[in-house]
Amino acid sequence: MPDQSDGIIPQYYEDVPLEDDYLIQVPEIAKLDDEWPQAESDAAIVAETAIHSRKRKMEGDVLIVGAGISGMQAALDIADKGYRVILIDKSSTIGGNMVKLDKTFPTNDCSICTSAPKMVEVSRHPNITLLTYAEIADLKGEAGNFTARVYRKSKYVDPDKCTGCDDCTPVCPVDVISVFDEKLAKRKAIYIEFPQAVPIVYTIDYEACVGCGSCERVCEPGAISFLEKSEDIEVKVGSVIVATGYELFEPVEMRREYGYGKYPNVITAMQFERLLSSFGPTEGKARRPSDGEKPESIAWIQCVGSRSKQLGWPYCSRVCCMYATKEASIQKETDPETDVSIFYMDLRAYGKDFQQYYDKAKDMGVEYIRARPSSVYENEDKSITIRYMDTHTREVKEKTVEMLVLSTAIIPSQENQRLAEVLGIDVDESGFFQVKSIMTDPIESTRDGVYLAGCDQGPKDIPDSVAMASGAAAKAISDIVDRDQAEAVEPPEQKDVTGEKPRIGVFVCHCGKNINGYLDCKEVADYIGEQPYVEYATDIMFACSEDTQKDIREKIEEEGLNRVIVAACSPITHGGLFQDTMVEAGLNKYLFEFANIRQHCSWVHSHDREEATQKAKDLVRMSANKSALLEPLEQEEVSVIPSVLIVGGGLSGMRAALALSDMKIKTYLLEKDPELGGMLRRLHTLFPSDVKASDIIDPLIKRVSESEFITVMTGSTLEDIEGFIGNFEATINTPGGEEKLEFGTAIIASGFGEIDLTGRYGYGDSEKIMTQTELEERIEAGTLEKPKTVVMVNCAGAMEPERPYCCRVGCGVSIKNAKMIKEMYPDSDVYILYRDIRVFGKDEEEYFTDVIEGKRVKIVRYTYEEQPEVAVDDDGNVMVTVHDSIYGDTLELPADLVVLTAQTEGNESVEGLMEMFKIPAGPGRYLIEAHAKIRPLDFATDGVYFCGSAHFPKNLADTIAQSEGAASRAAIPIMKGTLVLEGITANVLEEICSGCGLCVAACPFSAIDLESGKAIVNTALCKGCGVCTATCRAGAIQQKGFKDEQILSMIKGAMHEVY
Amino acid sequence: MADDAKNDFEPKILGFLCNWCSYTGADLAGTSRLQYPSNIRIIKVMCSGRVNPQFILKAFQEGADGVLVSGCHPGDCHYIKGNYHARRKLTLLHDLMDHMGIDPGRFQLSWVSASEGHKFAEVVTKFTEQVRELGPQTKMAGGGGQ
Amino acid sequence: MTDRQGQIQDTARGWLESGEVKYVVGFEQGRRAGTKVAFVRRPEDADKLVWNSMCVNNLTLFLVEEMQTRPGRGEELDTTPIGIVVKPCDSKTIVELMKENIVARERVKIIGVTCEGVCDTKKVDGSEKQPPAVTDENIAGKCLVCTHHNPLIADVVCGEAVPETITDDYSDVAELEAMTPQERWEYWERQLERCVRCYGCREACPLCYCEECVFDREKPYRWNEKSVQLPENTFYHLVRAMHLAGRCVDCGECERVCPVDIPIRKINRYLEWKAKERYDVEAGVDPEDDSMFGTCDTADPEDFIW
Repeated sequence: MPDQSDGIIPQYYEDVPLEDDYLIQVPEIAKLDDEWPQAESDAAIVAETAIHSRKRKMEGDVLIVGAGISGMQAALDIADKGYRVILIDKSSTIGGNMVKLDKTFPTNDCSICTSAPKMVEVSRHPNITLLTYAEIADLKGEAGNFTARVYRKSKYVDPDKCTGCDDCTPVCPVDVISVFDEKLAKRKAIYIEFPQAVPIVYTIDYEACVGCGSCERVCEPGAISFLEKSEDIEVKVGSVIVATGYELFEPVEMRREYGYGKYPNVITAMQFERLLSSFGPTEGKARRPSDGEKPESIAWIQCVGSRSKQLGWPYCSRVCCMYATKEASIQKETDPETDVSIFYMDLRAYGKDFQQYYDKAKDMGVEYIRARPSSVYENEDKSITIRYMDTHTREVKEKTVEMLVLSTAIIPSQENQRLAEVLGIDVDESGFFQVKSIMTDPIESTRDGVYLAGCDQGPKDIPDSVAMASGAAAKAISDIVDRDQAEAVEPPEQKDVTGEKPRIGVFVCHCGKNINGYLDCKEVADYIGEQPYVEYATDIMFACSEDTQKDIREKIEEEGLNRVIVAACSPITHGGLFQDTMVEAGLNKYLFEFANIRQHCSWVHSHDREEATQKAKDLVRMSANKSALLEPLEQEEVSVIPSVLIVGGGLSGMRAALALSDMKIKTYLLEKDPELGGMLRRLHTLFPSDVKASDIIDPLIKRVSESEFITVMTGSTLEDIEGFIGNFEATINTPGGEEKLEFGTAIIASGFGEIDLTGRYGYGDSEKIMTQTELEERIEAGTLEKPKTVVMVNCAGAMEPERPYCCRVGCGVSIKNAKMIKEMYPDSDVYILYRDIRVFGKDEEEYFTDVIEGKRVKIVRYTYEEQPEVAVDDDGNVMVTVHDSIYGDTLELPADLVVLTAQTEGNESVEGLMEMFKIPAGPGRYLIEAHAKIRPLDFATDGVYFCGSAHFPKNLADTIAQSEGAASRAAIPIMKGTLVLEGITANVLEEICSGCGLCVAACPFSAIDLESGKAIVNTALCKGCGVCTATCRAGAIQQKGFKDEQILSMIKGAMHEVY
Repeated sequence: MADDAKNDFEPKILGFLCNWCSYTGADLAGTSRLQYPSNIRIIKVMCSGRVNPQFILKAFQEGADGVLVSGCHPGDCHYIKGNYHARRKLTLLHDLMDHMGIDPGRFQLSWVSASEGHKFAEVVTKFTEQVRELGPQTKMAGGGGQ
Repeated sequence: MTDRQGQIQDTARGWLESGEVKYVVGFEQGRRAGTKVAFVRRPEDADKLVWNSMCVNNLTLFLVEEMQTRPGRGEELDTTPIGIVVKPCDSKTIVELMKENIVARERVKIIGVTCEGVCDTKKVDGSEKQPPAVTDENIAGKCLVCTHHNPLIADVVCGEAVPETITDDYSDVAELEAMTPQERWEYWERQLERCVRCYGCREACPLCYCEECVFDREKPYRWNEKSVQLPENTFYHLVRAMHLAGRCVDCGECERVCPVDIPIRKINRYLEWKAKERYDVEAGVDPEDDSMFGTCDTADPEDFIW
């Protein structure tokens, strides 16, 4: 086992060639002349190697290429609906780029902690076939009937035998630079990428392996198989989702002036993530590559490889401002003494809670310097000096730091060209996969039946990728909705063990030498065999082997066991396997108990056999004590009413309804206004294109009204909601009176609007002062007269204490409208007063640049401290005064049209919805999702989802992706038909309950109510956390599976031999 | 107590770990083969919010020399706010132990994420040493089923 | 004081006459200086209600009993309100009981009495025939730190408003904090080893209203052994303190009834202090307040956590 503490950078870094063409082919970047490197040769290699491999055929419903967060989300969304997914990934583990990150903005959630459970879920899902180390070689056919060829490389390790024990890596003599660790560390030729890899099966890197056979000799289960063949698999599916992700710009050719690859203390942001990661090369500490010392000062340079047509890609990479802010503030939090600065052009804190996150970083002492540094040089002590022009003072300055981090851009994968050919889809001018239409079909590729998710079609943050992946799942389903769903295997009938004396069987696993090498498994088994209620105890070589599963089933039968304990590794990774074995033997899965004597014992006390053996005995005894008190738990099933209620008939509500309609699910579309259309009704055109809003909305309304699955209810509002996931009932006020509706799930698409600016910026004082929406209404109506001077004030009412967020769409809207005015009246002067120009992602930056350069719109930057003032004199003349923070002048602009880009807020109906659906909202009445990163469309309340600007303002493409994503989420329970509820739930002992309501208040899921003075648990809402149980003074509410007596029995078991 | 006796003393430590973060973090400590004192006995709970202060007092009464509770970092709770509930209750319990003169150093709450194998090993090592330093817990022990 | 007494009697009489209440719980004169509980059911008996320095008990205990009485088989629950005489500290109990859904506001009519303090019954000479005046020597400990001399909830308030002059700095509890931990333990060891686990403190406490106390449960598990030993006693008192944390209104009944004079209020007041300091929680002030353990805040302090 390599001792990780030896793996710090200095030793490794020096002999890591940065331009190692074996591991990463240096991109032949040929953007300028629009030529792509010829990549047929790669495909040819794949095809040729395939000839020498084993052939087999597979059938499924959807093929997903790429198992990063997007691919995994899409796979789960489809598999949960009962369709079969074949999920392939070219690397040896799933997880993609997200698992490399330390934390995620703006919540600082641990990245691996949120992705690992999804990875495990994917690997255990009965409807998902996972093929890692596999690539797609061909795709024939058409939507509904594709035949793909997938080439799966051999890992030379038998996945059924490998236990993930890691005995093989210490003996492997070959060191390989770890791409997973961004070349900051090494791995062996036999490896897993990271400890939480899924599947936990080692892989032999064939190219690097010297064939010495050391690993084979030490592998106890005999999992190494040099003869294992690669496979050429023919896959028949109905639709395809491409979620192959992105690469990061490597600043070795372009942006060479920042010294990457030349100066050791210049690293990329992803490398910095690996340093911060607790399972990275420095175990979570920022260290200087030159000497492994703690850096006293760190600077970030933004937009390395992005926002530049000449030296990179023209688009904004969308996530870099926030990840740099995250990295800087984590560093500041860990070590407040570090001098931390970020060089930026515009700080694009555009998303939900981003601005607050940025403000917090500033408060913590992160210094933001507005400049694009021209060059850097290295000093004798290996520190780095950055030369830049301060845009405020216009002086050329220098700043010296001990470490420089380059915020490199998200760029298209080099393989996109080859993949595009294989898949028969197009790439755009940057090399991302081309979407069918950014304004109407942002999820579709240019080939029917092939959908796109995540960053393979442009930079995106995690929640947007996840939302889009769900959207792709909805789309992929619509091609196969008429197929039969996969049938679940019926388990044998469950034996009724109630009232029986506990008869416990204990299986103590050697795990080869991994447990037995450090403690005496036989002694543990003999000891536990003497404990009360233990009928059978044995030690076995590998508890997880298929042989042992058979053995466990037989022993349950022969010995009449009614409870089983496996003392082995961890319930997190293997609990499900043994629970399945229980079920196959006719026992309730909750009668199984795990004792973790590997991760929690043998591996962590490997120097004292006696102590480790004693501890193992104690751990198994504790489990036995609890086991005797275990009860079979019932998992209730509830049927689901097969229809969805959508609240809000704007763009997002309609798109969600149509996506559901494509999946043949009945929908009620509720709209408070007399007509469908929402906010788009008031707009003239839509950013980042000049498409007319009516050209978008009118065909949508037509499609909605023609769908046989959609019932439109205009002029109607929600009065009340009762029930829970699967079985909701709504009372609705319609023009025709009160109506009751039953539905299984709901989508909130209540939208947003501009805040009321009356009394500020002269709004209300003059007809010449209006908001952007009012301007568009006027243009739409054709009543805008030619103005001489137009001044647009961005961020009106935004990013101030009362509404601390950025409105996300204002910059884009102002640019679009400025262009529109210039096109109507080329002689008019148009000014945009802005704080930061936040046009993020693909297309937006390009649109912005075109307008500024092509239309001669003048932009003036102001600061929060010196806000523009709008004054109306007695004659009705309007004057805007603004302090230009870049040039330092104060400008007085006589304007005959002032357009305020007003701050936005969620629809006022949100307050009622919060109450009715038990859902939360944050600043600006924007609803709060279950998890900012990985559950962006769900609420903590099951069965309720949301999309569009009810979540946060967003552009058309993001809104559509979210709406189709929400439709996918809402369709899952409907397509399942019945829901199996959690077995570990709370249970009220009525005779002791005083009805004090403490549990009702404490429950994070509003699952408890008081009825006739007693608490009552709604098991459909209960998630089984046990907070209520710990809160009840009387012990009147108990968490099944973790009852007070069960935990007490373990406490006693830990302290005493006899209980 | 003489120093020698202290050094020979092997404290009995009980650990309550939440399923989603700290238990997985402890798994990672194992996978990474980090070594820490073997005194701790782990009880898995679904959420740190399940830990009733009575369990801790009960453990002391049953003879535990130290009790560790560990859950997800603030904001990371699988159940949204279970760890915040744990924090409130257990902070007050810690205060109360201090007030009663029952070495609060014997009870520790920590946040260990699923990726913090190192932190888990450090917390257990530090806590074991701290409890070892405090010597056998005699104030509440001797009750219960002993 | 007679003024208050007259108002109490008048109110009770009026309510009983109109039938608004089925009975009134108040104080009547005991055989000597002390008072005892009176259940007045007829208007003409209202005259026996008294108000004096010996009206110490927290009568809300009987309110809880009324609320928890379930109708017999085939009977219907009589929800006619009852009247109750409360001191300001007792009124806080009602607020807390309302917060915990034990008391339904519409089922109680409250005669709140403003109060300048009552006697510590243990400091009053048992031979005295008349209730003594409250003095610095005989005043109840809870009154020395009382910050609410006027009822927090009442239908009728008897007596003139009393100005609030005391700020509770918890110096009595802080005293203990000045000791070394070992000294503190020795102090509490001396107290708790005396405990005979008569559960008087629990019985007298209107907030110890559990249908079945955890310490009385036998099946399926027993939290505490019955033996009256220090470990069991300590466990009992610590658990009880945790159960009252954020709820105790310092009515002092536990300490008053303790046969071995354990300073129970000190434990409860310590947690009251911490609840206020850490979570800004004050029991008994507003029935709409959140309960301390029913809620949590992302910004809660976490000074001892690793």
